[in-house]
Amino acid sequence: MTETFLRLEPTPQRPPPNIAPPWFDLVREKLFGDATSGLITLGVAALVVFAAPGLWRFLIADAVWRAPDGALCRAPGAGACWAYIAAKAPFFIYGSYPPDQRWRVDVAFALAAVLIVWLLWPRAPRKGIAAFGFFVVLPFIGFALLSGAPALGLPRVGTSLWGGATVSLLVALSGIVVALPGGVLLALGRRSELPALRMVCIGLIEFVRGVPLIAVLFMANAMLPLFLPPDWAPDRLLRPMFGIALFASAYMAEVARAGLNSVPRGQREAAQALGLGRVATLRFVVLPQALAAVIPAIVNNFVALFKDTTLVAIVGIFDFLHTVDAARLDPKWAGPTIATTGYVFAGLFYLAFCLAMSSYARGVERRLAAGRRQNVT
Amino acid sequence: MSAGALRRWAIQAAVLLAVGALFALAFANARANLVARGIPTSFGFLNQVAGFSLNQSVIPFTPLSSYGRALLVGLLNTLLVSALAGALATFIGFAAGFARLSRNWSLARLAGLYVETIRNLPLLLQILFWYVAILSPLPGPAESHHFAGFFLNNRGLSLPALSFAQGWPAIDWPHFDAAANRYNVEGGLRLPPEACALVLALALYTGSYIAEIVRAGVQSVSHGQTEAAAALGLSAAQARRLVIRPQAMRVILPPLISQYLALTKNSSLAAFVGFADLMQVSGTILNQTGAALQVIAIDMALYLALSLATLALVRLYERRLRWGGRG
Repeated sequence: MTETFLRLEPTPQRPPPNIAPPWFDLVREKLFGDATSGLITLGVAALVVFAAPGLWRFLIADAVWRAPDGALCRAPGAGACWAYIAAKAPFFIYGSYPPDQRWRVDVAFALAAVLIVWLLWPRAPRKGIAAFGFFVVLPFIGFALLSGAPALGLPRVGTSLWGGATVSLLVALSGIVVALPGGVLLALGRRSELPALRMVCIGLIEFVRGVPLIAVLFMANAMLPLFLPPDWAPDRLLRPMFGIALFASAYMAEVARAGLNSVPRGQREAAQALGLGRVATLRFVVLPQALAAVIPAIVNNFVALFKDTTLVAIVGIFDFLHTVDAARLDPKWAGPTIATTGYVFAGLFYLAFCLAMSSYARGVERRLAAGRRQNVT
Repeated sequence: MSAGALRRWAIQAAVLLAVGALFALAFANARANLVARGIPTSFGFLNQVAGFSLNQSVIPFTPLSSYGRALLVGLLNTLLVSALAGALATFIGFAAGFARLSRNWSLARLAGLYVETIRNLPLLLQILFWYVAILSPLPGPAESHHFAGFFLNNRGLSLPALSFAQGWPAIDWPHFDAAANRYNVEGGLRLPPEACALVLALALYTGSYIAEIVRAGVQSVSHGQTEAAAALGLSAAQARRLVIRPQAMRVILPPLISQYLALTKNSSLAAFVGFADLMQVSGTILNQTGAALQVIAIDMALYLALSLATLALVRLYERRLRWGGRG
């Protein structure tokens, strides 16, 4: 038997949905979810209220933006001395590089920037050319530009004059150029089935990873000249660059090894079944997958490398941080706020570079994760 | 012997020969260079009088002590600074890691700001900032900031220490008495400003890495575990203590230990502010005696020993874990 039902009257009108703006729910749930949470929020707010005005006054409101020398910055109550940064900017960027030759530095780094963007841009075409340019051509052109080539009409500039951001970027870039291929080679050696090769690579990697970078720099500085014939003594800037490159290669080797381990064995076997040789298997099948899987880790390694370039100051090289730290002693500007101003500026410089690199790494990570999800389903 | 085997032997022999030749060449050059520059070639210099003083020492050290003793002081200082910074970094790191996971938006953002900023600034910059911009302008001992027995001034931080001077353990409180000594706070353990800057910067820097490790560890415990604990009738606190923590700790501990190792190696940045750690003392000895090979060999051996011991500890721990669990 069926029961029939017929609606006789229209359904009553429902009240409109909650008209509280979205931020209201957010505030209620995320800031004042319960008593503890509310107290925490008040505590954080108190901290911000306590710290923000002082920071604002020091960095912006009371800061000295324009001044011919340190007199205004030394006045009591004066904040950050940005005029000092503006006056010293050329020194912070180029060190003591001759002013009429500084365009050479600009050209070298512009070239590097173009190649890097080309390499990192996900959809850029012909990355092979960019890679060749970055790892093979750039070092030669860069060296000729920075150090000088009398044959081409570029006068020599001794490395004792180099300094500032130029040296920081140079050390970091040369570290990357050496460490990426060097690390991959070390990782391949570590996975080799030849015991002698494996032992040599493991020994080198673990030795370098086991000691502080400063010790490696000391070693490169004091021992390279001892190990080489007297008339081969390497340049004072080349020694720490060698140390940094060695250190970065050892760390890169561990990243590359993780990448190599992530490539399933079947890939190698399939390549061999297709008749690819040892080198072709590596080049066309294993390495592309291995390196793509660890791009975020590689970039994070470069962030660490960039921060580590500050340590070359221990052997007397004027990198960016060292020039900023040295400039605060200039009697024309010296004052109570100069040190803090310099460190804040240096902090912004490193923060900008490192955050850009980290966020790129995170972007790639997200793309890789999305790709993996697609493969699974 | 097959062609393949022959090739493998040939490659290995070539590698070993190349490495051997490199070492032999470097050794020959080094000996010639050392003799030419009149640099000592033995470890005999370790018994010579050092002739310098050190700004911090847990064992007696005077300028008349030997280079060997100076190195020992440096090693002890490295361990002291690393232990202090390690304890502080653990506290900061766990607090910030949990704060980042907090349901309270403002707390999570504050912790996130700390982690993202500190991780992306060079450690050396942070050490210099604390040393030059914060600690150096502090007032002298007479106008010390003091709080709960701690004294902070431009001579450093004095903190209460355990003392056995009277034969039984007692707390040695730092105190300032202008009549007895106008120039310094007496008693307690005094850390020079160099050490304070180093400990502070190392703790904040390593803490930001530990925070991320803690966060990843807690997040690695699947949400089903929390729900299962609730279904079994455990309270939120019980679930945290009995279900989440043991599982998270397994993920956290190995990278945590390698952070302690990184911290110990990073403490070598003491050389930049002139705190007498192993690296700084070695640098001084290296400059005075020129015995670069020996000094660097000693340093590397000590740091390597620390690293390898720690790694062995991690391996042992990992092997023990594989016993009981899901791993």
